[in-house]
Amino acid sequence: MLKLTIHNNLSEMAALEPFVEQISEEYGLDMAFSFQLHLSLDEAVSNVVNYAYGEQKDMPITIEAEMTTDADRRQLVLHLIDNGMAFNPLEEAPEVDVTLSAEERQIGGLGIFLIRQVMDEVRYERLSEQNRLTMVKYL
Amino acid sequence: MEIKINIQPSSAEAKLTGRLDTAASSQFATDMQPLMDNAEKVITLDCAGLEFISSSGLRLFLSLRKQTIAKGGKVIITNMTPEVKQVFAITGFTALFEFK
Repeated sequence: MLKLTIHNNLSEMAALEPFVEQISEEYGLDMAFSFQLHLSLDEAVSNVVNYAYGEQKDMPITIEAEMTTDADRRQLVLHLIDNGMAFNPLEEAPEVDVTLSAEERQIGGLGIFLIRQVMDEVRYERLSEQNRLTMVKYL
Repeated sequence: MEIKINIQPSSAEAKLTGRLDTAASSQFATDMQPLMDNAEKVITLDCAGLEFISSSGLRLFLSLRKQTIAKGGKVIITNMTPEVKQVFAITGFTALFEFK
C-alpha cells in the first residue's frame, strides 16, 4: 500500500501529482488511468481542504492507495481519510446540469460529479471520528 | 503551470503549458487576468501543452467564457489533448466553447 499525508493547505496539494506518478509506476497504470486517478484525488482532496476542518489549520489528510482483487477483477482502491467534522460529500454535492449554457452554468459543484463519472465506485463512511471516502476504479 | 499571453488590437492568444490542478489554479487565475481584461476580443487558447485539468481549472475557463459573453468577445480552443477534452465532454463544457 502507498500512503501520503498532507495538511489542509491548498499549496500542499502540489504533492498529489508526484504521488499519482508513484502509484502509476508501482501498479503499472497507463496514462489515461492515472489521469483519472489524479482528477479524482484532486477533486476529493480539495473538498476536504476547503470544508472538512473549518478554520483549523495544519490538519492532516491521508491518502492510501492499493491494488486489490475482487472476484478475479483487479481494482485500484483509494482511501481519503480526515479527522474533520462529519461531512458526506456525496450527499452534500449539488445536482449538476451539464446541458446549461455558459450564462446559466454555476462556477462550482463539479468535483463530486467528476469523481462519480470517472471512478467505478465511490463510498463515504464515518468511522472512529474520521471521514473516510473510498474510490475504486477497475482495471 | 505556465501561460504565455500575446494581446493584439482585435484578438488575443494564449499558450497554456502544464497541469491546471487545484494547487496551480490560484496562480493561474492571476496570470490569466490580461485575458479577462481583453474579453471583448477573440481569444484563442492553444492547449497543446495543457496536460491536466480539474474542476478548479474548468471554473477559470468558465469565468473567461462568461466574461467574453458579457463583453462581446469569444473563446476559441485549439489543440486540446484527448484526455483534457474528455473532462470538457463529461462536464458539458464542450458545448460552451468553440474548438478548432
